[in-house]
Amino acid sequence: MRLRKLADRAFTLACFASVLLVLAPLFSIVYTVASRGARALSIDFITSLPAPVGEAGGGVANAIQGTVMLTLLSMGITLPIGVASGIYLAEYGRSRLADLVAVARDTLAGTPSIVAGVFSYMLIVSRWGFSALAGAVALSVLVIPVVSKATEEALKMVPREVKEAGLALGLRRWKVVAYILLKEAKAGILAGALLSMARVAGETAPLLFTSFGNQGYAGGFLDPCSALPLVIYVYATSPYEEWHTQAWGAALLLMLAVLSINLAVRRVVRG
Amino acid sequence: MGDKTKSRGFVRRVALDRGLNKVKEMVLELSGIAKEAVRLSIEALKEKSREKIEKVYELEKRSDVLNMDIEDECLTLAALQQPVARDLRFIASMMRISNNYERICDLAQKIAYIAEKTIDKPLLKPLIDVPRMGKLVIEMLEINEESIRTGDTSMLEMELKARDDEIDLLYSQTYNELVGYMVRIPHRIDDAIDLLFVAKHLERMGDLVAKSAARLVYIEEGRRVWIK
Amino acid sequence: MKIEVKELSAWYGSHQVLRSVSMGVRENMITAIIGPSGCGKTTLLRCLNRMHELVDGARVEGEVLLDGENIYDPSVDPVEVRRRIGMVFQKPNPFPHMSIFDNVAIGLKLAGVRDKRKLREVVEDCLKKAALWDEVKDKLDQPGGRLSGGQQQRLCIARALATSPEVLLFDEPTSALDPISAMRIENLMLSLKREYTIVIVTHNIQQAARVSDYTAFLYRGVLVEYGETAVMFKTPRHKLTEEYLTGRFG
Repeated sequence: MRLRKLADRAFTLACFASVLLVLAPLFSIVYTVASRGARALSIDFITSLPAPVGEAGGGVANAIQGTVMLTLLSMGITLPIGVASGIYLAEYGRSRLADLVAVARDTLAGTPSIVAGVFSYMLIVSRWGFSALAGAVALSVLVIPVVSKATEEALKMVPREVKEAGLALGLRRWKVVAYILLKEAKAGILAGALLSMARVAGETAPLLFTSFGNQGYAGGFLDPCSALPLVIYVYATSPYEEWHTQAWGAALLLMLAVLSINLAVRRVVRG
Repeated sequence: MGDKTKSRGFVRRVALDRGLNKVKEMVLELSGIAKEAVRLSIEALKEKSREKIEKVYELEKRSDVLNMDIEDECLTLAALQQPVARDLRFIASMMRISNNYERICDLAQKIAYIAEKTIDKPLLKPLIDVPRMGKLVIEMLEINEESIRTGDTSMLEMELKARDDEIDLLYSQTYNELVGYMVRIPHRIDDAIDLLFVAKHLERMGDLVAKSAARLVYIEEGRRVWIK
Repeated sequence: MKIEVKELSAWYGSHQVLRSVSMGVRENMITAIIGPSGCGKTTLLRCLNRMHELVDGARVEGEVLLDGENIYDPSVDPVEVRRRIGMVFQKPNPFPHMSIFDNVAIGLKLAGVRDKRKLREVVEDCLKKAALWDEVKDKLDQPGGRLSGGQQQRLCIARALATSPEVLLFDEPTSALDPISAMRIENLMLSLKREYTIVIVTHNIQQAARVSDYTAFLYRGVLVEYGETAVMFKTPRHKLTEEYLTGRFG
């Protein structure tokens, strides 16, 4: 009896220790980024363009613009394709083709992000040069599988009875899917979309040779553009002390953005 | 139905209630037939009316059919509606009450036989106690009917016992009287015996109605009583 | 006869679940289908509105005549059939995130009815028929998933009524409910049969006895006995029926 109690205690303790192990690096990162980044953060930092090396001040406004642009653009590409393929796999996926699509998608999900960048480089950059669009395409390649899988899973979570109820009402299948099942699966799909948004906002590697970076604002989707992760990468690897500080500031901004997206996901999932 | 189902979360059992009501109506109809048969049989005896004799035979046939229908309806309810508690007591008791009433119609028929057999003979004596007994039986049936309708059995025992006692009293009175006739007018001893049977039948009817009343008490209150 | 089933056989893959069943369903009556688990009763029900074929590998042979017209005729659109024959399922399955109002109105809305007044009327009417109106009239915009089990099932009935079907199929509609809610559903069926033809599958023999006018007893995919409920429950013709009804099976 006592032994069993002891085992129970030990197990609980082990679990608790693991939680600490997970949380410790997280808190360490958050603390470091927050404390170092806070020094760089100011209105000026958010609203002005980068200053040349040696000059004080300067900001990352162009990178914020770029990240927003990339995010919106890649979501614009990802959501229709991801959701549609998810629907296909969940509702009509009983053919050979569907099996193939599923395997391809799951493989794509495991693709290193740099490969997605290479893909976009070959497809777009090699013909039309660096652009925000090229970056967005690279990012989309990364997250389409995420959205697709989230959609498929969310649809499969809808009880079979609900679908049958729709069909038994004498509704066409596409109407049942579009107006009833998607509505029931909304939370799951939205969560998937938001998570992929967070991922898109934080990716660096595929952008290096697609959207490339830009010292000023991008004039449109076909111009090269900057992005927060790019700025972090470039500034952090530079030899200048003030740029390091700015990199921390950008990192803090990015972290806040990702954090708020994650909070939004939790809200959505809890309904 | 929505209105009534809401109160206190109770739900009416529509089909069962409908069936129980039907049984009730059928038993009341049978009671009416029994009353009519009793009344007509005595009138037939008194008035030597062939028409009324025939009427009694007809009523008896109807009571047979109705009794069977009641049994059938009760069996259907028992088979389909799974009655319990009062519903179960009601169904089981109504089957027996129905049998009792059918039996009363049988007895009325027997009185009518006697009326038919003696139709060409003058009455042995003026009928006074016999009609009074008949009237009492009919009254008792009516009291039962009222109780079946309202479900009120509080006065039932008392009211029926008083009348049943009176019937018993009239019977023994008639018995003694008829014994006297037999001694004094031996050549009409068969008529006296017939009349004695009539009284006996009526006395038996009183018992049957009283037994039925005891069943009604059982339905409403769940307790067994003997009314005699 | 509202529906006539003629030599209907059904399969899941190579497994035959119905063997040449023939029976008629009378208009404005409640017909119960009873039998032990796996006897094919739910399959038979789902064949009546062509829901059976939605399962992979499911197959049907034979005819089902609805008002004399074979619903398995190649020219017949199963969607149309399901519009005329509504269904209520074993597990209450309202659309959980949809409002109570929309749960009832969705069938009409998606069929193209835009008139708000008409939709309101239908919703109120159907909820009243389903004996749910008084309980939900003040919270029509709340999600249907928040009602109690019994209320959800009545909501499903209202939803089925909204597209004004002629026949209602109930697939063990009370097996997931408490006795009081179950009794409400039974009463509801009794009041609905004035307007609709009802077929109910139930594994609860007593329920079949209480609500139905006609009963069909299925055993291993074969229709063993079919007739008036009152007769079958007092004097079944078949020994198998007798054993099943009296609980002395096998």
